[in-house]
Amino acid sequence: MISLHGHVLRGALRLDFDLDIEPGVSFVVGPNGAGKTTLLRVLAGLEALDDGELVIDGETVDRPADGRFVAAHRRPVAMAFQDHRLFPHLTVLDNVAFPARRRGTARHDARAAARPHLESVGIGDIARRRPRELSVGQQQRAAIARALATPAALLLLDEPLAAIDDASRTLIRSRLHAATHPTIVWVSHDPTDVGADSRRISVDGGFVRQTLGS
Amino acid sequence: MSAPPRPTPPAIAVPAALAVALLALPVVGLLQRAPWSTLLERLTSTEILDAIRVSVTVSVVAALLCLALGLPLAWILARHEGRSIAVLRILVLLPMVLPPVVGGTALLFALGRRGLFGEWLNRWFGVTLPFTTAGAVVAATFVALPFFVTTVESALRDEGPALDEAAALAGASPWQTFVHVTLPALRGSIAAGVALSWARALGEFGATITFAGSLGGRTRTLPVEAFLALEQDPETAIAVSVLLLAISLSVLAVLRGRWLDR
Repeated sequence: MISLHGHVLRGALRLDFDLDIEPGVSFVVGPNGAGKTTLLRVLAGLEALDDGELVIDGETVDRPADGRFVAAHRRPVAMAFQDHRLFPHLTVLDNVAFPARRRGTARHDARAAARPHLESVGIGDIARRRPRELSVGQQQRAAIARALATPAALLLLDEPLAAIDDASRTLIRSRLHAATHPTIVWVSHDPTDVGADSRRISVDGGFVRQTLGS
Repeated sequence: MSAPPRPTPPAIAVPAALAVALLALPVVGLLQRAPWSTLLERLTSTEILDAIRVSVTVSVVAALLCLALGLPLAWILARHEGRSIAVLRILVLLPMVLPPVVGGTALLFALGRRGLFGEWLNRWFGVTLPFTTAGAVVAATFVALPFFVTTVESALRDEGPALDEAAALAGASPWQTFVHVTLPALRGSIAAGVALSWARALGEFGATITFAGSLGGRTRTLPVEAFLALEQDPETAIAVSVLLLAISLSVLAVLRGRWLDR
């Protein structure tokens, strides 16, 4: 359970949050530039609230009133960025093994654990390549695999299917729905992703709030 | 497909040709006067070998100090904003524009035996810097540091916070991010910064002779040796100059992939 109430100021823009996110998948919808990515960045700890409170699984991670702010790397949050952000000096496999490595897992075990994630998004055959040798679609799959391999209570997905070709979209979409992360917040502009009965968070006109699906 | 030829206006071509002449003529002048037949002999005399040894020691230690001190400084400059950072950046660039003799004089009054901090260094730690090899290292590091810091800082800025953020969301602490992402992702720029600062330290003259003097085998580096030899033994001065020219060209050749190919 995630509760986010308050606002951020970005220059002249103000974004007001009024959210209680239940476990499961919630889709974030809204026009371009409305602040969908900002919502993810606030949840991730890459941007701080100017006022209000963010609670993830009972832990207050951001409350400016009493100066409380838990840094991004200490939050139980994983994220697949829209611009992929793979580590250029690591192979695809080591990019996906990175979260386990930073948690103290030995290299061999981390790589072994990373493989199934690569295969689940259909890039098991390019494990040894470096990011600059990949197509944009392959980079996005690798970024998804890295996020899937990051153990966390909350998984943030920023337009994860934007660069995926139509033929593979169904596979990756069902893979994301099967993620073991209890809560998934998924930014998408594609109505096919966002089923008619899915839970939605609408970001529009400076307000971020639930709109009930069914 | 090839681009159509575009004529260069004479108002651009003529000054550009003059610039090329200004850069090329000293090299030609040096090479045509070089005592090629006795070059090796002159460069292996005891004095020159001593100067080579001092130069190598001083420049390598200075480049390593630039790496050890400059990398954290570059990181701070690239990752923070504000007035104090702007002031810090001016301070970092100062040795680049300051006449090295002024730098050497300033070092003398700061770290000399009677200097502001030198007296304290001497009394508390028994460390004396002026006219020692360590002093030559300090002078070389002072002038070379900006070359390292600016190279690495601009690379860090170009990379931006994107990879840092991705590492944090994968659970890496800022220190883990620095060690496992920032350093390896920027190793090319870091190597370039080391090469540039090493070359600058190797060529250092003004601050060194002012602060560390020219004691044979201790602070007399190759450029100082070349300068002193010019009066009595110009052939040796030219030989040393050719050696330094060859080293400079080698550094450029190593860095070529980074700058000349643009």
